[in-house]
Amino acid sequence: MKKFFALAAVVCGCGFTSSGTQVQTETQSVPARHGTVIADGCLLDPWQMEILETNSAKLVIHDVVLDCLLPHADGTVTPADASSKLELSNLVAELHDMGYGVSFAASFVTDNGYVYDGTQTAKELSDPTWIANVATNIAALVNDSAADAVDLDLELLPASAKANVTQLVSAVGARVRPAKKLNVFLPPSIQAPSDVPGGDAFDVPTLASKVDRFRVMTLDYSGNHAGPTIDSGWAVDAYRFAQGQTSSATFDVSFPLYGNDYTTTGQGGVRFTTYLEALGLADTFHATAQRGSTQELFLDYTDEGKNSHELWYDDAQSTLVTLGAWDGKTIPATVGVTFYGFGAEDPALWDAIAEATK
Amino acid sequence: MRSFNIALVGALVLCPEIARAEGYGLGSQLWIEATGTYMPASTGLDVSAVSNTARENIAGSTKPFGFATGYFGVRSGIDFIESDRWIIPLFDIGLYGIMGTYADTLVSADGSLFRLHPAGTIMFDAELSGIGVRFKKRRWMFEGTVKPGFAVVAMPAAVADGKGFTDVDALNSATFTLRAQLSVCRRLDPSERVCLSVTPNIYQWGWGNGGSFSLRWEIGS
Repeated sequence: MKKFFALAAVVCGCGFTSSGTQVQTETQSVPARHGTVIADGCLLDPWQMEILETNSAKLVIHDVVLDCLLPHADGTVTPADASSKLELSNLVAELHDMGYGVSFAASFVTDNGYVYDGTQTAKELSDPTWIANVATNIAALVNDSAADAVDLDLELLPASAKANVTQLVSAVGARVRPAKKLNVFLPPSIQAPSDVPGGDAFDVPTLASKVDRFRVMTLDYSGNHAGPTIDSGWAVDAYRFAQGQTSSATFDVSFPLYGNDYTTTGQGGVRFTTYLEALGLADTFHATAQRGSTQELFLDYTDEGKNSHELWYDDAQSTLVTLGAWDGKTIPATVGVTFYGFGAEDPALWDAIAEATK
Repeated sequence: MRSFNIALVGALVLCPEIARAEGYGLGSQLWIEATGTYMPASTGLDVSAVSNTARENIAGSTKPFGFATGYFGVRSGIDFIESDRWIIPLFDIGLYGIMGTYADTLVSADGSLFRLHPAGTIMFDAELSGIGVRFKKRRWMFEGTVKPGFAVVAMPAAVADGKGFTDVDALNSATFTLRAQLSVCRRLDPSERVCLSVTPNIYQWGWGNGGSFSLRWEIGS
């Protein structure tokens, strides 16, 4: 085909001209979808609350997930103290007053709240008593706080944990449904056996009747290698793979509101950042952001320790490009979007999405 | 191409003979024209069997790329002439390159992002059959034809692939065409004419989507 082009150009004798390498983006129109934000922790800061009070946010966001609940090895789930529960109940009431649904996400991480240790969690899941206790405690927290739903966030589990994951979901579902909804975070597999860690621990066809919504966690596309946090097409494939396993479930695809700062020299590693932090780093280290092919911004800078960094983050423009690529023909309008990392986003984002959704 | 050459030779041999019929019976004419064409409405482009590091198979179509396009090219064909009045187009083909200044544009297809390079776009078209009529007045001749056919546009593109783009085969779109051509011709000698034509696109990637202006040289009856 390329040879044909060259030949055709010669035959036509036409001078092909272009204004340069600048890429224009389509005027983005974004299909209206069920929007959810996931915030880290049991509290929302004043800035997050201020965002949620805006009309734009109310147009785009329907549910707020507080990634708050922490199951422990002894079957307890925190927060457990009365003061925290009261704060949580007040927050739920406030969000309800604003018109949002509220879900509590239980993240099965180590007690420091950060590390997904799949081996440890799999061992805990193999104990029916532990499952029963955790399910009961999660249900109690959700019921006491009058939240509307529970989300279960299990990561890096071995495939051997599949039956036990189903048991956990069943146990939680038996205690909260149908009065509350039960949602499950799903690793973004695009094939079987799964191409992502923990992907084979979920029996999607069996779980479909036990959950209200699967959130396909189409985040961290580049993993530990410097690159975009999401690829819109990859997310489509992950959704289609999950949807292909069951026709009866409701799905979300996910979009990262945070950025990833990769250290490309020295010890390496990746660190979550916010949009505003990215701007600050660009200013501090005199770096200029460029756009990658997905329109996501990236920033090359060298820190005081002479370590090179590549920081990838989205702004309103790149987010609209991705959301626009998920048109109704590609992903049905019944599929929602889960925005992960609420508070880390470009402050202009919600207005931009609301405008593009009209 | 071989059949075209045969037709070309046939027309050159036959035309003078038929021309002696002095306006009666079956004649033919061969023509070639330089054409500028304009389409205000754009078309979506088909994507198939495209892959990148994220996906093995990207298949779908883009939204219309969203801007008007102009082309310049060459078209040639052969017509039969019945009773020096009725034009029965046999076939014609054309090849065009895009003209003007266009920035690369980002579009999506099947969820993936593509960078279109409109400045490298080419268009091919062909018309088969049709009907027309012509009138002569001294050295002048007036023609009108309506011809169905098809057109294919091909635009270079690259798929978003992490930090950069990966070139892919040109994205295409094909359409049925229906065009009306009105021409004014001036006879140069008994068998040669030069014509100016306007050709509204009755249908080409949409109804009433622009048209062409061309300068044509004809030889034949």
